[in-house]
Amino acid sequence: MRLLLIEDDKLLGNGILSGLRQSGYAVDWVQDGETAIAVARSEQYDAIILDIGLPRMSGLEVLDRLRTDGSVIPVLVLTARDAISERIEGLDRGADDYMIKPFDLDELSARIRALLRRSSGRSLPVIIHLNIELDPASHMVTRDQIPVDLSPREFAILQTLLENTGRVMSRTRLEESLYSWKDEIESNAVDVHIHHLRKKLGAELIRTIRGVGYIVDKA
Amino acid sequence: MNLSLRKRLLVLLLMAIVIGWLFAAMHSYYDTRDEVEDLFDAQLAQSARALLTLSSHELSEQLAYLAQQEQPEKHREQITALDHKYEQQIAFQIWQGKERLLVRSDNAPRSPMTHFVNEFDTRVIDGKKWRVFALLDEQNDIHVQVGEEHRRRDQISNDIALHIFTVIIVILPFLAALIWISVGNALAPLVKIARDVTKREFDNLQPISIQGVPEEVRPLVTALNGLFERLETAFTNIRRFTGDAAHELRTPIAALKTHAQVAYRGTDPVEIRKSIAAAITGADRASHVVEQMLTLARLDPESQVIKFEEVDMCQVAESQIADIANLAWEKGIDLGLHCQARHLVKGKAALLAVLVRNLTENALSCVPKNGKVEISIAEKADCIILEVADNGPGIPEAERAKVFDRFYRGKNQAHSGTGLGLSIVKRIVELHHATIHLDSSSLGGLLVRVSLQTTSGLSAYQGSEEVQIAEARD
Repeated sequence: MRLLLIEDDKLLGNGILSGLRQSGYAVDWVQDGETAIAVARSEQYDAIILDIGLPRMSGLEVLDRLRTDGSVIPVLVLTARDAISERIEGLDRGADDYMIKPFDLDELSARIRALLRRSSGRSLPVIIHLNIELDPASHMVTRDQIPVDLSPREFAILQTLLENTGRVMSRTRLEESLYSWKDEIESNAVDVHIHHLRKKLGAELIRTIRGVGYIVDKA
Repeated sequence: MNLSLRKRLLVLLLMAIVIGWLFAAMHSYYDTRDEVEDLFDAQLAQSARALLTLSSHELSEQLAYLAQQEQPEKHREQITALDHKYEQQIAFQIWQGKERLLVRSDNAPRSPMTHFVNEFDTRVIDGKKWRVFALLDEQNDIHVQVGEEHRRRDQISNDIALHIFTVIIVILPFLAALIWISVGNALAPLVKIARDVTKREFDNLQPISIQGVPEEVRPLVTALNGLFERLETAFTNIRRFTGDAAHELRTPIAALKTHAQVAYRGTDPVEIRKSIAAAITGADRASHVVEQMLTLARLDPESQVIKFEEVDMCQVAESQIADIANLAWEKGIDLGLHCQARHLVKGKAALLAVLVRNLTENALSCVPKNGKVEISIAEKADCIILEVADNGPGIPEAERAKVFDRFYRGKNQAHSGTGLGLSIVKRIVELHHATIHLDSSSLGGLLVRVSLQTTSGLSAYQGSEEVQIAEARD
């Protein structure tokens, strides 16, 4: 899961970045609206965390531009003001959720999970596929009710595949969900993670589409 | 005495009425008594004259006879008492010559009642006060003396006085009630205003309607409305300030909390240390905001009286810049102070220190690494000019007026200020009756110029063009 964080305050941005990485997200962080729009246009993200009080271009303007572009990406807005009118304006202009500073990091993670869940059309918090259960909140995966130990990146690939069953996920798409742009990408990293997943969850779960990527078939 | 207006008016009005009445009553009492006196005297005189006229003729002959008999007592006349209470019981004596009493009434004494003739006299006879009058028929040597006890007159006067007082006593309660009601009626608009104000919510600062308000109360209502208006402005300012303050505190607190949570969850000791260090930075920033807000709050009260003293600006600047020099050195900034001599200003040293510090810190936070900040103090045209120049990005002209607003932070927010620094500077400038002006510096960045008053206010220096321009722009 790859997130875009737009926050002008360095100290806070740094904190959110670390916190979300701890939760297993790949996070890119930009500090102003214009860069944010450029990045959002060129890169693939699963959700955006947007501070409203940005210098130069306000967060709401960024939101407007994103929605004008036709993007349906889930956006969680961060605000330092608790005036109801401001929250309503944010939601009306296309935000999916909001949080008031100072917020709880665990709650932020939970809300992001909920946003991702809704955007993938699920309403159950746990993804169930045949004999496999994946809980995005606790990062727990079970096979036949027996917990399976996965690394954060293996977990992220599995979640992406399970949320998009029946669709081929390209290797690039999977890579993007793993790494923010500062990370060094190893060329065969995705293949290695898929290999480990097959060992832990059974070879038949993930199918290779040669030269394109991987797919988990609909149950 | 903390009486209600109504009670006070009642007491005052009643007192005024009673005093006025008493004067009027006294006057009419004495007046009446004089009249009664005159009237009675006139009657007395008339009686005497009638007696003399009636008697002198017949008496003169009879007297001659009687004079031989020497029995004047037998000829006395019986005068029957009448019943009217103000009936005059006049006593009379008719004398022949000075010695011989011919006739006297029952109530008259045997001795002459008066020694004067044709003149009223008040005398004490047998322990009683009498009013007497005498007439003389010189032809027949008949002497008529009439008199009456003064008690009658006193009684009438007393009756009149009593009557007046009874009227006052009887009418007074009614008058009091009438005053009470009228005053209450007149004060009704005041009571209504009081009720209106009492019923108000604390944040209802709508003006009181002036309609139907009596002329005397109108200034009070107008003054109240003026106060409401000022309060409204103050409330709005405070609301905005607390809103902004909350906003300014939220971001550093959010950062502090986030880093604390990251540290709490973390497993890598190096990462945990980093997060805790960041959390501490967040706490520092939050406390800096609070500190700045408190400074501003302390400077805030309008009526604040500050004892000005002689302050050497150079000394103030030196000590402040020495404090910050290390910070500049760490960032590789060239920080310099130019101050040739002692420059005394009228002011408060502690506040001027905050002024210098805020301006310098502002400049330091704006300039890039290896930048330049120059502070200079010089005397020009009765003023001590403090200039802080930097080679940072500067402030666009359009934005210059706004930077003094609370919590305003430039669009180019490279640094994490509180947005309060320049508000504090402006307030200190105002308290010192100084002026502040922003300009572009020769270094390429911002120039802040503060003109402070010298202690003497006198200088041989003839006004420089630069200062005049700055003042004109302010």
